[in-house]
This record gives sequence, C-alpha cells and structure tokens, in this order.
Amino acid sequence: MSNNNNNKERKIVRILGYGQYVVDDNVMHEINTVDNKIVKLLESGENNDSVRAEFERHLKVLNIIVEEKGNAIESKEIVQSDVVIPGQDITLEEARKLFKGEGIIKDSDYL
Amino acid sequence: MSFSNRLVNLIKQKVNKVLDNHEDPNEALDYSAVKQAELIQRLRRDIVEVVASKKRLEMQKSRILENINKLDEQAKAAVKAGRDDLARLALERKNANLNQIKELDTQIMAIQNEQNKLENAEKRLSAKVEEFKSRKEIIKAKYSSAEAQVRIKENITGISEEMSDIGMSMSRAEEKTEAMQSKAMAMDEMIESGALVDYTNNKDQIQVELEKTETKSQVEDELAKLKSSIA
Repeated sequence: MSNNNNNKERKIVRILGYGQYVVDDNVMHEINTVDNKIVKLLESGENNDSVRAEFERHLKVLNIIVEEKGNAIESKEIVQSDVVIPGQDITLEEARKLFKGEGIIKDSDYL
Repeated sequence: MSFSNRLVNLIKQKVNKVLDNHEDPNEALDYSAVKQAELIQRLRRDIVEVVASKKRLEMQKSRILENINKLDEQAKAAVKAGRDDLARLALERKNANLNQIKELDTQIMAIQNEQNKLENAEKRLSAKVEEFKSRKEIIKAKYSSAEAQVRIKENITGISEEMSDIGMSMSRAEEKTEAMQSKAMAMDEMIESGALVDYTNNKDQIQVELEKTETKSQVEDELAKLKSSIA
C-alpha cells in the first residue's frame, strides 16, 4: 500500500458483504487483538450459548473498529484488500467453516 | 493463522485462478468484463427474489394480524355470552398467532438485512464495473507496456475480490430465501389446516359455538316472552 504523509502505513480492510475501508496501521493492531480472540473461540470447537454470545460480541467489536476508525472506500474504487474480516451477520458455524477453508466460498462461476 | 488472513487468502486463491487462466492480458480484461455483466444480472435477479420472499412474509403477517383481531372479537363475544370456555379457546389461539408474528418479524428483519446487503452490493459493483470499463480501454491502448501489465493485474484482482465477496453474499441470501420459503409454505399449510385459525370455513369452531349460544339465548328469550304472555 502507498504511504500517506505521516509515513504511517495504511491498510485496506474488507468487511465481507459490506465493502472496503482504509485504516491506519495502529488500528490493525486492534483488529488483530480481537481477531485472535475469535480464532480461539473457533478453535475451541465449543458450541454453547456463552461461546456463541462471546463470538457475537467480538464480531461486533471487530466490525465497529473498522467502521468507526476506518474510512469507507468509494464504491467505484477498484483496489485489493490487505485484510478481510467477516461481517457482523456471520454465524459461529459459518465462521468455523470459513476458518477451515471450506463452505460459503464455493468454486462458483461468479468469477 | 489469524481469521482475517485466512479469509484474504481464500479470496486470493479464487482471484488468482482468474488471472492464471488467461495468458493474454487483453483477454483477461475482456473475460472479466463479461463475468461482471453476468454477475450484475444475477445479482439483480436475486434482489427481485429476495423482495418477493419478503412480500410473501409480510402478507402472511397481515393475515395473522387479521386473525388476531377476529379472535379478540370472538373472545369478547364469548365472555358476553357467559362462555368462558370459548373465550379461553379464542385467547389460546390468539397466543399461538402472536408467537407466529414474533417469528415472522424475526424472519422479515433477516430478509430485509439480506436485501439491504444485496442492494448495496449492487451499487458498489455497478460503480466498479463502470470504472473498470473506462480503465480497460485506457489500459488496452498500451497493454504491452510493463506498467499496463501491472495495472491489468491490479484491476482484475480488485474487482474479482468484490465479485467473489458478492458471490458469497448471494449464496447466503439464496440459502436463506430458500429456507424461508419452505418455512412460509409450512406456515401456509398450518393456516390452511386450521391449526392457527380455521380459514377454510367462514365459520370456525368458536364462531359456530358462539352462534349456538346466541340462538339458545334468543330461544330462551322468546320462550320467556311466550310464557309471560300466556300467564
């Protein structure tokens, strides 16, 4: 990515299903922290209500960080993302499938 | 590996396939443009479908609301007639209907969310497709240069990422709409079978009982009148 005037690196983040944002590198640290918490939940394999609630909470935080600290990229911009995060409406099951690299993204003929 | 890196890799794998399939960059640009047009068509069809599903749910909701009003009236009439048993029955049915409304509201909200997502996706993709078209012509004019090669890759990668994301949203929306349609059918059957209220007959069980009660009291009244006139 190109550097801005402060020489701080900026990253492009896509929220699956909701478009792209530009965020500063320090925001990436926040994203990574929450991301790690989500990974732990996904790896735990547990399915109970408290795991589900915790997953939803982290997911919400993750989305809010990007939406509020990032700048939405204009619709017509064509740019590759550095990072892709799941949208807020993804379920724990869907997230697990995606994490394992299966499901949802089918070998579709969309491309 | 972090979740976000995994997701970006999943999408990159898909996108790279597109680039790998075309040695001629010009061809890759044209191929992508064709796929973009196809995807937009499909996306618009999906939106129509989602809207139709939502309308169907809303119609069911208004049927059930009518039902609730009717049951309320029946409960009142039953209490007036001193038939608490019938009033109870009407109120029980009303409760079942209220639960259905709750479920329908959740479904309507979920499908509205899908609709919003797809409509926004359509806006994003349309804007990108337009931009891609104009960039494509510019790049094509000098596609043999190394710089043009880089630009081609960037543009195809960027727009393919969007397309891959939209493809996912569409698959999810399609799955959800299908699930909702079968649920809606099941609910239609419930309504038709009279589990929620008897729509098939104009007069349902409660109504018939209420009318019987009414007839009975009319007969009693007349009998009383008759008796008093004779006495």
